[in-house]
Amino acid sequence: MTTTINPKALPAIGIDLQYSHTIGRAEFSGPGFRNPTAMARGEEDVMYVANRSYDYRPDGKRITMCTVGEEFIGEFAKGVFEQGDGEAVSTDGAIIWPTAITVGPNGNVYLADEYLDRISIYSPDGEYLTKWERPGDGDGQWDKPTGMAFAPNGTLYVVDCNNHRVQMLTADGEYIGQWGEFGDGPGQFNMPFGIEVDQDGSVYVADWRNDRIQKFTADGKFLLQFGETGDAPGQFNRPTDVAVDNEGSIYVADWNNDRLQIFHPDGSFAGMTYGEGTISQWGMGKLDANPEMWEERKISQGLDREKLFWGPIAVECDDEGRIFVVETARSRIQVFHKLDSVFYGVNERVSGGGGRL
Amino acid sequence: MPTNQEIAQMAHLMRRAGFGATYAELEQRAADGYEATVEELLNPIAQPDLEMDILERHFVDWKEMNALEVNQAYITYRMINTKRPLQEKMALFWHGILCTGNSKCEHGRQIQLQLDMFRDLGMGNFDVLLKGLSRDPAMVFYLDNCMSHKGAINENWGRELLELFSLGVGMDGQANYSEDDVKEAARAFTGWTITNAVPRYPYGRYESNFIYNPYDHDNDQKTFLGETGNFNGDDIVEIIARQQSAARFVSRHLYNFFVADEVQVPAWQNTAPRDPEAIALLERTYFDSGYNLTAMLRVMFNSDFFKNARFEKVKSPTEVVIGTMRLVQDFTSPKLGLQPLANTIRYMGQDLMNPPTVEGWHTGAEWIDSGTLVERINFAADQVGNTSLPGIREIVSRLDSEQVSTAEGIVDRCLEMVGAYELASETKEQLVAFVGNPAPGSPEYSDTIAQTLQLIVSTQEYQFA
Amino acid sequence: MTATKKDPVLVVLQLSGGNDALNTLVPHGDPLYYDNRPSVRVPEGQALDLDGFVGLNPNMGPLKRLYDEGKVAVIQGVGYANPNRSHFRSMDIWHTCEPDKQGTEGWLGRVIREIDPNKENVLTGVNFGRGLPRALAAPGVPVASVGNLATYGVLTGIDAEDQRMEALDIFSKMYSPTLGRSAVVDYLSQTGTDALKGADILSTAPEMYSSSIEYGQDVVAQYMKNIAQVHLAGFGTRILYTTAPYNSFDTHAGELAAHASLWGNTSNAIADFMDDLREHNASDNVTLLVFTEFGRRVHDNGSGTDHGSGGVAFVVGDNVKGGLYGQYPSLEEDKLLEGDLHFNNDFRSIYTDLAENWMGLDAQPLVNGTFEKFNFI
Repeated sequence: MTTTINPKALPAIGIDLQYSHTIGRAEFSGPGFRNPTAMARGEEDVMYVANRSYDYRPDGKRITMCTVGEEFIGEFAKGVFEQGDGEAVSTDGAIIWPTAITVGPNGNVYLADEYLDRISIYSPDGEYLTKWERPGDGDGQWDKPTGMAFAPNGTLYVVDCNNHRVQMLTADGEYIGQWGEFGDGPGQFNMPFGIEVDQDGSVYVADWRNDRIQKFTADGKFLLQFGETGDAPGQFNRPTDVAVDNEGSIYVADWNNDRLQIFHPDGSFAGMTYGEGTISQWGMGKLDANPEMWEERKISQGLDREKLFWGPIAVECDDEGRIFVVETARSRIQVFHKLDSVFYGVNERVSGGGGRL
Repeated sequence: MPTNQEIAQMAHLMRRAGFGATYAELEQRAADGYEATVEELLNPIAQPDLEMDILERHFVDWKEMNALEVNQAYITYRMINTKRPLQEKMALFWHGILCTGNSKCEHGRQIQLQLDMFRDLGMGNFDVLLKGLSRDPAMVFYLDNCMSHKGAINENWGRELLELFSLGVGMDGQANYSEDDVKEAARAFTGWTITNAVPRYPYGRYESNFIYNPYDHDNDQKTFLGETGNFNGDDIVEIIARQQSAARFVSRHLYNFFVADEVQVPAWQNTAPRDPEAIALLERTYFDSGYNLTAMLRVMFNSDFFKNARFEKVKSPTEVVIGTMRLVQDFTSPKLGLQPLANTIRYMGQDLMNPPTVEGWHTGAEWIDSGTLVERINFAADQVGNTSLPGIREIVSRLDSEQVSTAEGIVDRCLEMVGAYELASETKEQLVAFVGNPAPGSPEYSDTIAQTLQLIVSTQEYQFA
Repeated sequence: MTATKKDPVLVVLQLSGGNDALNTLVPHGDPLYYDNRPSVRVPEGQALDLDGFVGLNPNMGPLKRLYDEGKVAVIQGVGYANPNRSHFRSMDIWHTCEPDKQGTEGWLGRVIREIDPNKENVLTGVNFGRGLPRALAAPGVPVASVGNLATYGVLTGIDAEDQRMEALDIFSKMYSPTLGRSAVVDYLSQTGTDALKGADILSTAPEMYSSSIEYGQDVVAQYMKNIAQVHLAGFGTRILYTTAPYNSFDTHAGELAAHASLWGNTSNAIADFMDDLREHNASDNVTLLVFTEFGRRVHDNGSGTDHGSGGVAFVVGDNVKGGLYGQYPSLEEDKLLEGDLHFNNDFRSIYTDLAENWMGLDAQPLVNGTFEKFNFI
């Protein structure tokens, strides 16, 4: 056996995800989602999911409240079902084209709506509180708000998609500052979409039509960027969202490549998944009520396609180390855990021992 | 500056080979030249496609594109905004002939994939298109070829392929094929089937795929249209494409759709073409070009019989709605209301992707009844009366800048703006009497123009393309 | 208008989306009902009992009142062989009476043609809602489709009333048949003239109407009010049709709340409609059919119910012999049809009753076959 050593080619550390489970089924109301575009984690195991639905089914436009364990809690901001040509309503608390949802330091739920140029705020149990409806391109105004994230210090970052910039607000909505303009240079954007703030307060933006992720300091100074157009590892096709876990790993919803990519804190590629979806509990309930669907599934070809992401539009990490991927075209959320490839053995963290080879 | 005659000719071409155009576009195209415009239309892929990333990002249901209504909204948007109007018009043309309906398939995406196939192959060679159609999962399901087996054929696909998709029942008083040909064609297509679908719940459907099952294919000799051999489906298509009746079929359908309303299709066996010379020319082109649709379209659009056929067709509901939207320049970017707009096409009698039967829609005057006529008139009048729409604002500011102030001038210019329409003289006199003489720049001016436009789109003449 | 007041009139209310028969006509006497519906059920003791075994949904009080008056025929277990669980297809089958192939002609279109073969009245058939249901579609049979009776007409987009009147005047001249230049144009002229005439007549209905009944504001109620207005105006309209909001009975999820509200509105609208006609002594020549394209699954899915078969239909009117017709389908596992209620009665039996016993027409060509009647009229 000959051993060749090339010290310049050390194998990279990868990150794998362990699939946990899938939440959801396609529904216009009740337990399920319809074209979900965003989710946020609340207290305990609660999650809020924003559903865009079809425009001719405004009754499917709503925020679903459920748990990570798939317990249905309720829904709010629900549209009204009308005769054939029913159009979505724009009254206070209603949603039309939701793009982002996040939970504030006080537990309130913030929802961005790019049709109404409105951010609506609800109490943790879904009671409508207030709204900031500010169409325009001035300070504190926006033309399609598409991303929102709270910093540890309480600052709210809002992606202002069609003005190609990021704005900073207080939790009460007062304008603090902004950065960005149209372009493809550092600190410039082309229709940016999702946003994330990490534990240190650094800001990550999914620069959608530039096919890259940019990282900034809390006040908007450019730090780094990664990604380019394509479908190879590390390349993007219209990334819609970015999330960062407690260890600094970066997750990108690579929307038009139908995959989730993972990056190290320096932006180097660490891994990816195309999805591993399984039938959710709600899905099981549906199939059990319709036994012939089980029969159809037995004979259906290409059922493996059901595992794959279709339109992964949002990604979210929670404090328990879980990663959530929201799929618009599948009306579901796939949940993963991070697997660290670095050796620590089974007992290391418990006993400080060395584990077993 | 192009002449009025050149504009009128261009308006005619764009209505037929596309979905109409604004006056500014007509001027530009007329300046570029008629034949140059024909060539541009015939080469659609040289023009940019829609920016699907932006569209799917706003209409998030367009990725999955499952429900019929979502698909109808998509097609509507596409027809309004495409820079490849003839490609889209040809997809509509084939959709109305090579029909598949959602009422049976119940999977909009699968039918949309068929329309994509029409967009790709619809201007190429007829035999290639039929081969694509024979492999199209929506069609294989719609006409039950997946239920046709060696030794136990289902004739549905074999029959409609001949009757409705390629030859027609007959021509010049003669039958084009026999009942035996139907059975033999069906035998040749045994084993052409699809995979079992993934059911709709819990997350939504996935498309079926075409698959060839050689074990279910009838490998014995077949005799089809006088030729004998161990034919498979593609052999049948190739024999079909060689037939004079196939040339007639394609030519007559092109004529009916693009040039002038013919009698309804079932009458073609015993009714001579409206313009036999035109059909003969198209038939020759069919063979000379190796069954090529682009070649036939080129000959047709450049012919006198086409150029002289202005207003010889009743607009289809799709043409009414899309033509009006292109005129008023609404829905040029994503917004709400697209679905209700698409519904208006349905209300006027054309439920896209869901034709009443495999025979498609009856065309010409049969589009019109008292209900659908009211839908047409009110729809178009509502749109052109809306002075906040960009296309209407353009017309107002144009007339304003031209200082058109006489009643007759306003009527004439409005008729030109909506596509060089001509009215019966009595009708025009009534419009002129209605208009009065508002001063350009006055507050009434734009209202007067809007009302003039409303009356114009209410005329019988506007129902014709 | 020459209207013979006592000509029989048929009103059809279509419940689109597939009404859940089990929670509409509740078999509260059958323990299997509660077994099959752990979540989506009418609680024990709440159904409005009809015969000790079945009862109406508790939100159907107004309809129960009419039932107690003996004016409601409840047709149980209605459907057709080889049930289709697609909204489109199943509704088509109900509309065309063609369960085996795709039909294009609606059965009521045929009825209208039969009643008015020479198209003497442009308003023999009127639909309320946008777009024509296939039930009313037949070649050469004009049917007005009224989206909103209060604003129905030609050129309604011209806001200023005097300008609209002027425009309509021009319109009527533009479409006057003397201007024709070809067969197609003559046809268009005639059609435009008919449309204007129909609209002119219809637009007078709300003006002529006055009533002490206050209908609800929901869509079903408003359309039932429109139907009453047109009937009371005496235009000679014989077939009036409307659909409940688009697919609203499609209760896959959140059924309990949605279904309660739908039936609350629907049964209120039906009762208001009947009261309205009676107030005007105009109920004696009206029969109302209420149907849906299919029933829903016997088992609920935790929040709603999915597409099934075996439905329930209602026929309401002062000429109706009220009561329960047909057998309630068994809920026993081995009696179910692919997990659904097994239909006992072909829907065309209902149509046959209506065509022959009510409209006085030969039903066979209208419904494509011969079917045993219930004789509920």
